[in-house]
Amino acid sequence: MTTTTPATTPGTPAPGGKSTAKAVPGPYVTLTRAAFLASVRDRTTVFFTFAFPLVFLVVFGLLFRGQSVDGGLPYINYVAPGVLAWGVGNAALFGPAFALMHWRRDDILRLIWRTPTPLPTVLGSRLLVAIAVGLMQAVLFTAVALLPFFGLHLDGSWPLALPLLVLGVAAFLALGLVVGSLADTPEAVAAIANCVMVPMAFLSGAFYPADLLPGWIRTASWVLPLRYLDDGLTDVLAGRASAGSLALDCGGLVAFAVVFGLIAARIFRWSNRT
Amino acid sequence: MTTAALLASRPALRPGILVGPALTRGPAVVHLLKDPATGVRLEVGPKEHFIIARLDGAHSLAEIGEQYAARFGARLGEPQWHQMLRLLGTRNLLAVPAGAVPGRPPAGPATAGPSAAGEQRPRRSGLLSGRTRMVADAPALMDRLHTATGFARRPAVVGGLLALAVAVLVAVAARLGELIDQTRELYHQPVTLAAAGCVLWVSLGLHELAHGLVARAYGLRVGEIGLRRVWGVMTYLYCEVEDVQFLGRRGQQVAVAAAGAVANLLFLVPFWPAWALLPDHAQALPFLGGLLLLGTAMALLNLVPLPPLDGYKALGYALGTLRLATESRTFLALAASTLRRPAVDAHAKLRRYPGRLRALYAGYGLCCVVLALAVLAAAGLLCRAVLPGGWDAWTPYLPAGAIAAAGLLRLLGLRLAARKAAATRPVPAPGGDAPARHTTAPHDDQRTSPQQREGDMTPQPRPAGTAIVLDGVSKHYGEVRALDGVSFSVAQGEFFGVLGPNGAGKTTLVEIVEGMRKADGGTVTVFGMSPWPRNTALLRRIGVQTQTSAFFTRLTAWEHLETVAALHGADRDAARHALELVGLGGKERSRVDDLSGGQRQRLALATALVHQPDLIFLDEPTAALDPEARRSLWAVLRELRGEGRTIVYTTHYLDEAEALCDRVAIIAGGKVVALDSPGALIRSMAAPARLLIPADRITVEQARALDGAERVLVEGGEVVIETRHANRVLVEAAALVDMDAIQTRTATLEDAYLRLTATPPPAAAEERPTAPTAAAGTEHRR
Repeated sequence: MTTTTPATTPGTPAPGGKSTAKAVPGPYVTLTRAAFLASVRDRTTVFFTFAFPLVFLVVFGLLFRGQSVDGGLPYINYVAPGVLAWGVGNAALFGPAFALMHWRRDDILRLIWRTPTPLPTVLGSRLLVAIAVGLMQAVLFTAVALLPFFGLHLDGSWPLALPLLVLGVAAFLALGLVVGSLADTPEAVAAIANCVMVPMAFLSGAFYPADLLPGWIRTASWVLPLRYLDDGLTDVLAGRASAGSLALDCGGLVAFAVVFGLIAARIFRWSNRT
Repeated sequence: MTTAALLASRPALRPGILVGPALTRGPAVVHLLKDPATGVRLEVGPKEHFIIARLDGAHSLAEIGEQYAARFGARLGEPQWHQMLRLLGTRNLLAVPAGAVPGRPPAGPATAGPSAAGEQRPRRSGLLSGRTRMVADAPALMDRLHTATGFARRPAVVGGLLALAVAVLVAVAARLGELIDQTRELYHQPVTLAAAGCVLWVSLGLHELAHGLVARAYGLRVGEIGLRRVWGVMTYLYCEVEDVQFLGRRGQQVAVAAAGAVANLLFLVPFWPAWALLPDHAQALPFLGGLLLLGTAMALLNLVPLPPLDGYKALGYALGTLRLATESRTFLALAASTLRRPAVDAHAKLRRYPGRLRALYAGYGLCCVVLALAVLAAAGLLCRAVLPGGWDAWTPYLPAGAIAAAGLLRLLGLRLAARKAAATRPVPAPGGDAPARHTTAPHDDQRTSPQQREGDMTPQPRPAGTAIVLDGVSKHYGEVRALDGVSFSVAQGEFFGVLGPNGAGKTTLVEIVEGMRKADGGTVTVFGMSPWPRNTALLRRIGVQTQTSAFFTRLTAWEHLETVAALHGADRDAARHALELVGLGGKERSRVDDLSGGQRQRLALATALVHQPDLIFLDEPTAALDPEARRSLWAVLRELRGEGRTIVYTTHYLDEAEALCDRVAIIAGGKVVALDSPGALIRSMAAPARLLIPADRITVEQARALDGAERVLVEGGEVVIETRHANRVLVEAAALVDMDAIQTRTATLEDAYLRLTATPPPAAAEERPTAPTAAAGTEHRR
């Protein structure tokens, strides 16, 4: 039942209500909200952000259905974390890269420059939105992968995936900021980001078991951030994560986040016009 | 009118006005009044209610006064009567204005009071959240249902139904163990669980209709039936019942609130025999068992007395209280404050609560705490049951931990925000030449708040001191000298125009002054500070409107402005004020991408003004506006100047510069070629006046022959005579042509501007045939 809210006007002087001080939303909150609304209202991007990994899941799930790696795990336990890592990384790179390029091209960065808001607030709000998007992706993706058809089984230690996801988003966001600072047009963003992401996805074993990669590629792939995210998620979801390997994966992601973050800070530009 | 006449009058309430029974709100007793035509509600005290209840047109005020005196032991004087009748009159609650009773005649629903606006506030409805109205005429539908269900309103049937509902409860309780097991099984059959969910959703719909039907049976009105969506995950039917608290008997009110849960239970009746009769291993058992258990749980949960559940409403109705939860909290907070320190004030406030109410509010508060603990415990158990094993040790505490963490984070956030606000409050006045600005406390600002300012029409004295000092500023891009030794100063409170052809260096100049670019040479000082590198203390005091209006992607005008306000540390009122100031109040919900050129320009202006800057840069703010909008913007600009703000203004409309600016700098080729007040500039140019005569009245030769004519042109069917001796030429021309056919145009700033900016650079002098086209020749330079 819904009763209409009693919007009453006291006819007699009403017992005085406390007037609460008006809360001013901080720049962090509003920037996050602005970025979030802009992301959510871009329906096409929202759709692909969530649908793309699912398409890959369906494709690889069908290809390797019911098989497992000798001495390893069922295929789905490689494919699901791999595709999830790729999907989260992809979204965390593309979204902020495009947004940064647009904000600079459309002078929104200049608008922010003219306010006393510091740069870390601007970038921090981006991180918050990216983490929220990444977590939503992970929830949806895992829910689908858990369906009996795909047959993924979560190990009880799955909450350990959360720090991995957050750090992974941070690392790819930093990379996205680098791309967004380098590129001045949407085409350039797409080209650079794809050049970075596609080879990385294949070399890191996002789409097929990393355990099946040739040994030297497996060794070489440790220079890629996606490898750490993929490795960590695979281990955690399969329940074979040890404290050491998890710390290594997290450490790797932190290192990438710091390095790319420093580069992004170096090459950040408020405006295209110098 | 005389007192006697007043007392003899017999005013009456308008027919249909609802007068509610006594209710408690906080320590006070109130009665609700409602005008169904407008939806206006009113809360009045018991004394007012005593009078209002007797205004039936049959009793005179004198008689009512007698009764009042007998009841309350005090007589009402003439002023009190007037006050009372005025209150009712202005709210449009009286049937006919009785005699000369002060007050307004009834003027129809248009006079709805402020509270009506509260009820009719627009409901945001999007794809994920919002309401969809399902029935065009809900009252009519309810009438039909009411007639159709007439048979069920006999006491025997109602009693039977209630007995059935109780029977369901008893039956479920009796075989609870079995039902729980089957419900658990259901969790491994997601499809069946979803089916049970769908059936229960239908049950929820019937729940709402039951509220509506019972309310209708007691003569209440059902406002709206529809679907409500919450974040795309929940969609449910709702049924809006109005005025439950106007029902005379509390039992009826409670019945309306409880009807939904009863309907939920009755809905389960047919499923019970099916479940009980099925053999032990029937596949449908988990479905039916789950349905029975979950359905019962849903009905009972709805009766938990926490807002906004039905149980809370029923409790409120039963106790005759308004806003039980809020008032309880207020009371408990008050009681707690008396414990902390001996606050006389709080004690006095506490004493206003009668003993019964104290017990009631305290009891409800306690009940809430117990319920909250129970909910936490239940959530903990649920977590342990649902979450994967291996975490047994801490899953039961997960919900409590999460809530504690959220609370802690919020507390930290509030602390941090408070500290930040405290830190940003005083911005020291640099060099002492400017009044201190307070970004977060407008009331102790030197300027008054917008509300206070409205009545204050006298222009404030100009603040002393200079806002901008430029000394030999130069800037070049590669070979191009954009600025070449520009020096001038702008006083505080001055309206300063910067004119010049495109590419003359205006934009560069503004960017150097705001600190976005570094000057190659010379010094820039703004309010005594250097703007380079990015000087946030200065940025707080500067507002810039650019031609390339930058708005946050995919936000609405209001959201954009709100965001910018927050970036400056200003609140929503500032955003609202700026939006109203530029006349975009009606467009706040439009996406920034959907705004027209003029609207974008106005939004850009609001963006520049939102933090009430002391120094405002406006770059052709009127370029895309129609003449009317231009004029209204001029008024805004003059008002800003009247408030003592400094405005630096670039424009191509020279009439605008002439009308608005105190001083004008004309820039060409990166240099200031003239700097003075518009009037002085025009005079110093000694620009010729122009006499226009239709070409069929006079030939060019005749015109040239006139004494004093300096130049003769033909423009658009008119012969134009330029002269510095307009009077002499006029007299001469009047001999040839009828005086009425001659139009005189005196020199404007435009003439001065064209002459100044046309001064050709030595190299290209010969290529410039006439002044007006020459202005375009400097365009490529930057």
